[in-house]
Amino acid sequence: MNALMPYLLNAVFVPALVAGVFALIVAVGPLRRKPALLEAGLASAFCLAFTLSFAREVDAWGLVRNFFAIEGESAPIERWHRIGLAALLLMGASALIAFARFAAGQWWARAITIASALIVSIFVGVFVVFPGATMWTQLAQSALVLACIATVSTCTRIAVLWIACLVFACLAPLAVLGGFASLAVMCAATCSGALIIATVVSAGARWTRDAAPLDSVGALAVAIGTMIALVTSCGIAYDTAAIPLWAWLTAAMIPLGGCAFLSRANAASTRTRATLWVVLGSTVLALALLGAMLLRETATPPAREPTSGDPMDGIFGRAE
Amino acid sequence: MKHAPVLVATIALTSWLATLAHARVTSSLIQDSKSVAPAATTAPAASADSAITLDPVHSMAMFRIQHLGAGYFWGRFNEVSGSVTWPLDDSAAPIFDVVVQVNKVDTGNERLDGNLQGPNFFNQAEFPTITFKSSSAKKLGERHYTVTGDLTMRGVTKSVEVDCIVAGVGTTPNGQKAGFECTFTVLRADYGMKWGIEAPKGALGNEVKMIIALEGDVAQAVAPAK
Repeated sequence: MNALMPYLLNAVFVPALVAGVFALIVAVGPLRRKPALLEAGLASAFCLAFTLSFAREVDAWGLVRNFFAIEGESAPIERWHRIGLAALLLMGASALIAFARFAAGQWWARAITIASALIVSIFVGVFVVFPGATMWTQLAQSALVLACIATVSTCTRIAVLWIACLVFACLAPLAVLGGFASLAVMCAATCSGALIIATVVSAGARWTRDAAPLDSVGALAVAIGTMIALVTSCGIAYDTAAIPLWAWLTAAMIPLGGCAFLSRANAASTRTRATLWVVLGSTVLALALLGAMLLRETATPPAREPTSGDPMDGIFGRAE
Repeated sequence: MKHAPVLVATIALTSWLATLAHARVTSSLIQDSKSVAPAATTAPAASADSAITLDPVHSMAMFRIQHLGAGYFWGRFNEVSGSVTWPLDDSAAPIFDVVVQVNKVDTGNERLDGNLQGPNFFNQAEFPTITFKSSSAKKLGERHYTVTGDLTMRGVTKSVEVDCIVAGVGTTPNGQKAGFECTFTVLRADYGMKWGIEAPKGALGNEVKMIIALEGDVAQAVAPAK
């Protein structure tokens, strides 16, 4: 299909490339020496990939339609549009968190990270309400945000971006199976964005003298963890194919896979090797999840429409 | 044979009683059949609107959309409910109040059904029904109308004109049934369903033809429409 390539280019690759260029500004060159700017820039770039893809997939007005009626616009207000707005707000919030962390000093930095994770989780629980939501689902959504931020925080340095790429690479096919093509496209854009950002950051570390190290515990963990939780919750809420809950949650918890090889990562002689071990653990978990879903898809026989047991139904219709 | 007259008298009496009983039973049956007949065959008085409750088994909504600029693709919604108010003598236009359940979309392909229920198309989680309520009608011919009404889909309500014919009125052991067929065309982008029109360009057409086949049980005669 000829139309598919321009579509993928616009909705997946362009947002990822723009995020990559945004990351390039802070990850390569003199700005790379400023750790606060690096963290803020990368976290914002990550959210930017999702936001741009959302704007391309829905339309830019979709970001504000939740609050303002747009004249001449007949598109309905849909609850899932809030994930785009949440990603946009998260861009600013993650930059704020990064600057606050580095301005406050080492001890307070940890407290700021924990406080910001709590605030973001409460915000997501209150602001992003999907269909069929109850108080318990909103609490679970907030808890998922905290859990995702915590699991992402277990990833060391650059591994956080590679693993974010893996998570969204798993969420995309789940969204496709769940009947939500747009979410899959946004996941693909975020996955590609994380891949480009990770590549840029790796290159920047080699090309820039006195490059500031990347701290995965901070704004980056809050941004990536929140986006993972948001997309997972959204996928579950709009799933039309009854994808098992464990599949969604496993995808969200892929960063934990890195813990399997944590001892090897700690014992590794170089940072690159340590990163490789952590990413390998998550890759194994991601492949296991995709394999399980593939098996489930091939093993499930096609269901048939149930037929009425009353033979009169077919002739005369409903008998009162 | 001295009991012969008694035997003959007994047989005669029995026969007479049997005949009498038969006559009473027959009369009762005739009376019974007369009391059933109006419910089964008699139409409501002229000009009286009949409330017709739609039968979900024999009512359906079909849609047609162009796929990849090539063929026309058909799907249907299997659960259509609601009511129609219409005088069986066709002295007034039918009034429709129809509800279509989005989760009963059926294209013959489960994956496609899931996609259609998803947020890119009908967004069943947020907008579980499509409704049509007629507001006015223009008679085009015998049992043929243009009905104007509000179509609500994905939370957007727009006025549409529906070409409607009364397919017929039939009688079943359960009572009378009336059937209608309504045809109209909508632009799905008007209802915020834009996926596949511009992005990916031309994957699916914007114009959707709908054919709504309705059949319902004529439940009662209601007061004539004023």
